Amino acid sequence: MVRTYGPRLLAVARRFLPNDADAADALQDAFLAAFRAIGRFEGHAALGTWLHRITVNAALMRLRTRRRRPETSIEALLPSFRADGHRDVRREAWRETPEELATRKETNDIVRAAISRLPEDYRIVLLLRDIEGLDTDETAAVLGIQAGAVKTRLHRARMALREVLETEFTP
Amino acid sequence: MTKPLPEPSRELTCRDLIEFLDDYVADRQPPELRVAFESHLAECRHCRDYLRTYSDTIAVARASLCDESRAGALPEDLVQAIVDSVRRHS
Ligand SMILES: [Zn+2]
Repeated sequence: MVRTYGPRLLAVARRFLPNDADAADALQDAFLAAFRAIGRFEGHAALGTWLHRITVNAALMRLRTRRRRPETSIEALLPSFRADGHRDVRREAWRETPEELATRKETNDIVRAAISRLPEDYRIVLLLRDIEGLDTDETAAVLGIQAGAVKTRLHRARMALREVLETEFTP
Repeated sequence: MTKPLPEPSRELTCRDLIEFLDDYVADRQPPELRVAFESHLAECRHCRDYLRTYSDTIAVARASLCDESRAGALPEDLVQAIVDSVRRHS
């Protein structure tokens, strides 16, 4: 089980915890929690999905024990508007489609770096919703916040990420 | 939600459109509001560009972070540490 699911689950832990040692600790926590709870695994969910959820929880627990680094406010990363409701800065659409961007190796690093610039409350919601595939209610339950807050944070996180990526992906 | 939805009767600004773009992308709007969004989009290239890059952001984030080719095998000492900790605690 460790060898089969471990690599994919370590990748999950790393998305939340960029430090390799923290991610490895979270993976270890996750397998321990899984072995303890295996009696309660009812096979309704696929084993991989069940382990994925346990790993996400373990990574979030580790994240809570870490001291927060100083971060930029989300407002500084959001688009600004003129009084008439038009956007302040206008740029063209990106040069390349996501598919084209994804084929280039450096895109991967650019996107990871951009996501790491988001304030933690926003970064976590973006990861849970858009990357790990939890829905709004599941995300709200895991984080202990209201569904409305999940929705707002997700939209802001995407807008902020879009601004950061735009400086990379437009001519 | 605390934000009031824009009145379908009045003209949408770019700001309204961007503020509620998540609902538009998720197709979660009342039909009359969706129509108002679509007519704004038809006339406003800036919002069309914004919509496209907003969707592209989600897609490129997904593609970059879910890149399984980076996974590889677990380091052997990590496998061992996990197996040991499970044994110790079971
Ligand atoms: Zn517009």
